[in-house]
Amino acid sequence: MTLTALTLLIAATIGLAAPLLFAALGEMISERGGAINVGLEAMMLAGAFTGVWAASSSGSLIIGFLGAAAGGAAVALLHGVVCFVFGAEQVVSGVVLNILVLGLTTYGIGAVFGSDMTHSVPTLPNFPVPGLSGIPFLGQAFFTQNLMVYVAFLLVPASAWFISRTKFGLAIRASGEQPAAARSMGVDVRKVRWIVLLLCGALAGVGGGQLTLAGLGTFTQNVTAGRGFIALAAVIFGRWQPLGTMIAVLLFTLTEALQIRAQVMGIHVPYQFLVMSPYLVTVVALALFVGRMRPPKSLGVND
Amino acid sequence: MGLGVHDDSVLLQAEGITKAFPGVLANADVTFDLRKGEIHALLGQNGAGKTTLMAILFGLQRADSGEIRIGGRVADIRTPHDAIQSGIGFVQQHYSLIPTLTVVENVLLSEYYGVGRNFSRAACASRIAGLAKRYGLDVDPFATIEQLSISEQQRVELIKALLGDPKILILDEPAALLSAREIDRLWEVLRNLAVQGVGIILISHKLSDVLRVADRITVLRQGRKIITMTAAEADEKRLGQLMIGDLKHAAAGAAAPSAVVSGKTILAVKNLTVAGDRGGDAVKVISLDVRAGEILGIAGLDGSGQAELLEAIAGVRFAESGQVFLGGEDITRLPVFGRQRKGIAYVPPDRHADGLIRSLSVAENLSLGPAVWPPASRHGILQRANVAERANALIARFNVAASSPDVLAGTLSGGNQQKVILARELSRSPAVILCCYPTRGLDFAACSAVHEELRRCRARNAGVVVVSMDLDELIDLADRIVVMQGGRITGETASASASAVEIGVMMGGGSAC
Amino acid sequence: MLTRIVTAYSPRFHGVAISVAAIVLAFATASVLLLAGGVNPIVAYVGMAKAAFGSLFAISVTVNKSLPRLLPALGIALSLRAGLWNIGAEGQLYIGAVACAAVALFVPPPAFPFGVLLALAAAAAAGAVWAAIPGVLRAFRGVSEVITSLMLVYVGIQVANYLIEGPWLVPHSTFPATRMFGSAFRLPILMSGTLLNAGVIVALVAAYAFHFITSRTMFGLWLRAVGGNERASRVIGLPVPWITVAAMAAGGAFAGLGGAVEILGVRGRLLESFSPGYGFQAIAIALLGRLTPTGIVASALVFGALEAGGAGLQVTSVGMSSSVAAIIEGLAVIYLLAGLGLVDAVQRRRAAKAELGKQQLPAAASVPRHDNGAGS
Repeated sequence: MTLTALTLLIAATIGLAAPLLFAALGEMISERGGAINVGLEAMMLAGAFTGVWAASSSGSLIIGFLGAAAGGAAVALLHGVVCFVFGAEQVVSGVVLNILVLGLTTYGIGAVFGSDMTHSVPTLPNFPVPGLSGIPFLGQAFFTQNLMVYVAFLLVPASAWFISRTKFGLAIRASGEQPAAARSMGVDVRKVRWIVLLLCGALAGVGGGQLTLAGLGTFTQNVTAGRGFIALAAVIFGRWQPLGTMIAVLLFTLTEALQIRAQVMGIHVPYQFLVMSPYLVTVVALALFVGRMRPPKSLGVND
Repeated sequence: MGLGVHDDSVLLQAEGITKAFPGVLANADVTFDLRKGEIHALLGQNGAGKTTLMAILFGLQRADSGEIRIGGRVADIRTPHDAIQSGIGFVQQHYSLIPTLTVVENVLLSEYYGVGRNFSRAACASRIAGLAKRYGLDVDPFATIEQLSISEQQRVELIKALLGDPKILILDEPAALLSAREIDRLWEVLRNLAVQGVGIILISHKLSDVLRVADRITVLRQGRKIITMTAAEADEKRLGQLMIGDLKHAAAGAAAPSAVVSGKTILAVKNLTVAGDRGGDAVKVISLDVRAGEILGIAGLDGSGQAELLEAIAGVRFAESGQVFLGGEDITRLPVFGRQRKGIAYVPPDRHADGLIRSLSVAENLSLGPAVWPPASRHGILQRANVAERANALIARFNVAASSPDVLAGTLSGGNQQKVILARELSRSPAVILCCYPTRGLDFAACSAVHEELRRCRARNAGVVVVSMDLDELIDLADRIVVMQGGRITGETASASASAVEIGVMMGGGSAC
Repeated sequence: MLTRIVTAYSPRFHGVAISVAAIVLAFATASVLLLAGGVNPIVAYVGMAKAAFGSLFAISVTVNKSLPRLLPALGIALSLRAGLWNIGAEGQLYIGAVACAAVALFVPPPAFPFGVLLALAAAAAAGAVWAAIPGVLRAFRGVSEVITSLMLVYVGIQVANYLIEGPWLVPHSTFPATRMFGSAFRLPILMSGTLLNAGVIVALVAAYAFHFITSRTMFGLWLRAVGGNERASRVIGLPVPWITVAAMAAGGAFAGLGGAVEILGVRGRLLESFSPGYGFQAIAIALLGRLTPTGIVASALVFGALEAGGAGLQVTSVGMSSSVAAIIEGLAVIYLLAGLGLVDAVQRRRAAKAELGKQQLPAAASVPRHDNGAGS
């Protein structure tokens, strides 16, 4: 494989990783706090839609991304109501939201954009990092992405700092591990879970927005196509750590990037195996490394 | 008390504390006081009211009547926050620590520290270091809780309690899970605190510990304060006897046990070691034999390992080492249903959580368990008629007050639920019956019914093991009584010749002489 | 939590009224959306009803569309009795389809009906195995079956895709599908003039099997025991890990049959993405049907009608009809959850009040009950 091809592969991987990274980091924070979002896909999809909607209505990409965040957060709000107010299991809520949001956003294409099915918005341009992008090969690969990609990767150390060094991060970890003990120490576990849920929704929404606003320029039916589930897998495979999640996301995106380039690169693996690899690898990791995969103890418990 | 200059050395006075729960009088007109710099032990069996009293002091419960004065002034303590403000610290028996977080992080979280104040790990770590030095509580501030031993975790709880600069410190069974050396260290720390003027209330049931470290001892029994004495006036025998009180069945008057039990050994436990839930071994190398046609009682205070022992024999809990023999056959490797098939029956202590499936009907509950298959089911298909017939027969025989066998088991009263559990277990005529607190929470009639049933088992040559905290019950029911404390057997006596003093001492961890 | 699943979703908890109300409310809410989109909801719903039930032919289409939802829903309800969430029904559906396609493509056709039966059996077995994997991981490693079964969905879909686009592809074709199966392996049409196929029989047998297993077998009792209280089941001596695996496998078998019914009955060949999310909708159907066979059949018919009636919805753009159906389905479950939560909260408040009423200070306060240390 030529250097150019490799460079392009890496650049594509990093660019493709950004939407997933937003969603995965959001989900990581949420799961550290004890709430699992099977409906992550719905949050991303909603964000993808509201992002395009906001951007095309206002003409500004900034409003677009804010709209994307709002869309994802709205789904998270609904999830929270169903789980914390109605008392439903988190799993059920997630599955139902996936169905509902898919329907709503597909319907929204017609309702909001009218007959203009491919309503397009200008996408986020590449933003070469001054100086660094000049580096041969590395510059092309890493530092010639659009702005939000850099934001996504900066979120990795930011979320690491947030979780382990701030007061609220401490409360999050306590709520995810032993909510009973945390409560007895004065932590308002319910409030913590709400906040991380909304945060996750917003981030996932931004991830969806990244997909449409920075890549495609338009919203199509089911544009996220299961990325939310890959993000879920990435959090698990990354062992609920920011760095691990990032590596998992990059690995999974690499397989996605490889799918298209496989024949060109002389790899003769049927692409379906590349597509299934994130999921398969996660199941295997869970099966084999039960001891070392340590989810937050109270993950998924609604109390 | 009342008028006059407040005696400065009295930190806390509790007067006339009364607290009732439905059906139970936990504290009845208890008076208690604590002086500056003293270690005051609170002694008593489970159910005596020690924990309730401390819960009231710490604001976890409210007394129905009575008054608490701290430093001479009446204190209105409604929440733990009030208690902390009044200068009380409490180290509970079950630590509320988060295992994956570090010491510093746990302390930061704890409300003693106060959310909102200086959130700096460094500042917190240095405060922890300061306290550690002052009171001899070494602990690595940056280790995660799960890396610490139980005694180190306790130090963290102590540090959490001491952050509020309390004048009064309550410790609930602090020595329960510690080794001898760790216990010595703990007493040193407490002495240290006392010397600096802190008043310490120590809840315990280990007589030897109490005698070693306490200045004064108060004994509670059945919700009442029996006596407060200085350590000089106390000795093990006296304390044991005060804790237990007079047994209703005096030594010679016990209901006639079966004549000298001559049956062969039906259940043999050899060197069984079982891990507890919170680190450490709940059962430490125990061996015992049960003969056919005998009822063996196991006495001991709650948490001495009796429940874990029975769970291990039944196969519900994993045994680290040792063996269990049923009628000479080694059943140590068998899972629960395997042991059941061989003839073991187990009545768990918490019928609510473990004994019944509350969402199934009585008839369905009675049809569970491998030994029931035919005739309740043939080739996997439920034989409705047989199930109903069996259920009705059992309901009649065990006198279960259920309007029909199809009512949900969860709707029955506690006593009837226990009867259903017994019916299910006993209906297959097991060779060994293990019961843990079988009459807990039952009224008199239900208790008698249970006892009758157990006697019937004995009559048909089964071996019965009964764990109970009620000595009267054991003396009435059992042929032999074995006492457990701290995971070991501390003594044995024939029930016909049992004496309160002796058993009390054994339960307190001393050795009978 | 586990007790709640078994009791809360089953009809003992205020019966079907809540489910019906939820569905009605969902239609009502969706009509608001339709109005906002410039569509007359009455016209739309009438059109849907006509398209779904207007003729025998239409009804047969509706029934066909409800079958691949009905079967996985039965499987999900079965596993749920034991407290297990089989979220991966969609994957088991695909694997079941793959297995029956394998039989149909490679086994020399035997006399009717053995070909079909063999294919169905293969589908059920394959679905069972695919579901047993998360079951084993849950029973013996404590790994959540939610996550593992969900991940395996996408693995299953890709396995199917690989086979369809690769070794099983019709030679020289670009359309991602296998060749049509021979008639020996097809579920025959039952009523000429309609599309009603023998899949209906499979579904009815399955529904009866569900009923039989859950109410007439010891295994069914065990499922409910484990779902009601796993810990107590262990203490009582039930082989809980094996029950867990079996519960998941049984659920997977039903899901696999769902795939088979669609492939052998309607499509006649295995093709890519033949499922618009049957396995996930089945979760909603299982809940709306309150985990009972009749309820599930009814809910599946509603969902099937929604899909079949979509053509009659007369909205302008492609994809709109399925989206309205999805909206109604999603809303229905959310309303159901809201209703169940409301009823639960009301009941708990009533129980708490009753408890407080029971607490009188004991008159003979000096005689403690025979207590054995219950309070301290």
